[in-house]
Amino acid sequence: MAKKNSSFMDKLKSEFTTTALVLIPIGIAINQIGRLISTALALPVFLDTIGTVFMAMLAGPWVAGIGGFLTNVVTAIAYGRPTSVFFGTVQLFIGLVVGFFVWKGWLKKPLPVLGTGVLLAVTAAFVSSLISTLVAGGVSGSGVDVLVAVFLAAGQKYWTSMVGARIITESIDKIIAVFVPWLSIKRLPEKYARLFKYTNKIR
Amino acid sequence: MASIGLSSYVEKDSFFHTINPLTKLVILLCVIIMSFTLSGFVYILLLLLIIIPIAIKSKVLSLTFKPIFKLSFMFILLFIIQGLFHPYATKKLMDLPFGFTLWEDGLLYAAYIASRLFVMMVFGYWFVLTTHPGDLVSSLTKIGLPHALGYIILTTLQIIPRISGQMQTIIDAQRSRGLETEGNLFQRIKSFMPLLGPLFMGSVQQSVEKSMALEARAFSSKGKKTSYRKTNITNMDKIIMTITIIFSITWGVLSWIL
Repeated sequence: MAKKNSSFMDKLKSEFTTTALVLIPIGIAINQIGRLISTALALPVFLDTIGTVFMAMLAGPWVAGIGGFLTNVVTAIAYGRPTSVFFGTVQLFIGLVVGFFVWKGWLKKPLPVLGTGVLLAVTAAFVSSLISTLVAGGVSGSGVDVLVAVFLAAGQKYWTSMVGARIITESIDKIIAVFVPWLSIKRLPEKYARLFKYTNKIR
Repeated sequence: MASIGLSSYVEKDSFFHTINPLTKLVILLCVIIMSFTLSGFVYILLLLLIIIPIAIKSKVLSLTFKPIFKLSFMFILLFIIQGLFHPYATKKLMDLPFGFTLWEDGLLYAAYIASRLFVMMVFGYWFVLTTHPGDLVSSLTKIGLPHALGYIILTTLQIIPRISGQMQTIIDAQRSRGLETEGNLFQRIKSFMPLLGPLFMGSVQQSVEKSMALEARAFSSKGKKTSYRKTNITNMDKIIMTITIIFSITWGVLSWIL
C-alpha cells in the first residue's frame, strides 16, 4: 500500500515539470482577463475558466486543478477577498474534469467537446451553488444572484433556483471556455505542441 | 526593485507594516474561523471594534472599509433571497403584497451571513493593504510552502497586468482589421477565436522560453533557496499571535455560553 502511494506521489510530481509550472501563472492570467474580452464583446458571461481549460489541455488534470484553485488564491491576495478562496473549489473541479477527459483521449472530435462544455456547466452550477450556500447564504456577488431571486419569486424551490439559474448562465460560458482553447491547441505548431505532454491526446 | 504588479498593498510607515506577515495571517485566519463558528451575528460584528484601532495604527482606516461599497448590492440580494425564500423558515414576521412572506429566521440568517462576509472582507482587505506580497510569500516559504508555489503566486501577480496589456493590443489590432466586435450574439461569439487565438499562441511560446530561462538559473535544483525580501519572527510577533489565539478561543466559548 505504502509503495503504491509513493508511486502515485512520484507520478503527481512528474506532472509538474518546469514548463507546466511556468504555464500556471499564464493560465491564471488568462482566467483573470477573460472578463476583459467579455466586456469588449459585450457578452453576458464571465469566461473566468478559459485559462483552467487551457492548462488542462496542455498539462493535464493535476496542473489544471491546482492552477485553477490558485487563480482564486491569487485573487484573494491581490484584492483581499478571503471568500474567493472557497470558490476556488469550482475551478479545481473544472480543471480535474477537463483534464481527465483529455487524459482519456475523449476530446478529439467537436461533439464530445460540446458535451464537455455542458457537463462543465452542470458541474460548476452544482459546486458553486453548494459553496455559495455554505459560505455566503446563497449569493455569489454576480449577476446570477438576480436570476436566482427571479426563479425563487416565480415559486421555484430553493435548490432548483440555485442550480437552475446557474446552469443557464454557465452553459454558454463553459461551451465557449472549452471550444476556444481546444481549437487553438489543435492548431498549435508542432514545434511547441510536442513540449507539452497532453497535446497529442487531443490532436 | 521590480514592481509588485497586481496588488492592493499600500506602502506606509506603520507598526503593522513591519510585523511578520505570518502574524497578520494568524489574525486573519482566527477572524475567518470565528466568523464561521460564533453563535450570533452580534458577536461577529463586535470584531469590527478590533479592526478600527488596528486600521488607525496601520494608517489605512478609510481604505480598510472600502469593500462595503462593493458588497452593498450583494447584501441587498442576500436579504431578499434569505428573508423571503429561506428554505427552512418557520417564524413568520409579516405578510407582504403579492403573496410573499417575510420570515424572521430568514432575516436573522441573512444578518448572520452578511456580518460574516463583511468582517472577513474588512480584515482581508486590511491584510493585503499592509502586507507586501513578496514578504508574505517569503515568510510562507520559510515555514514550508514549496518554493515553486511561491514562484507561481508572485509571478502571476506580476504578469497579469502585462498579459491584459497584450490582450488590449490584440483587441485593438483585430478591430483595426475589421473584426466584428458588435452585432448579434452569434457574431460576437465568433469573434472569440481571432481574439484569444493569438494570445494562446503567444502564451505557449512565452512559457517555453520562460522555463528555459528558469532552468538556466537552476530553478528545479534541490539546493537551499534564498529570498530577496527578508522576514523574521520577533518576540513581538509571538506575543501578538498568542494574544490573538487566546482571545479567539475565549470569544468563541463566550458566544456559546452567554
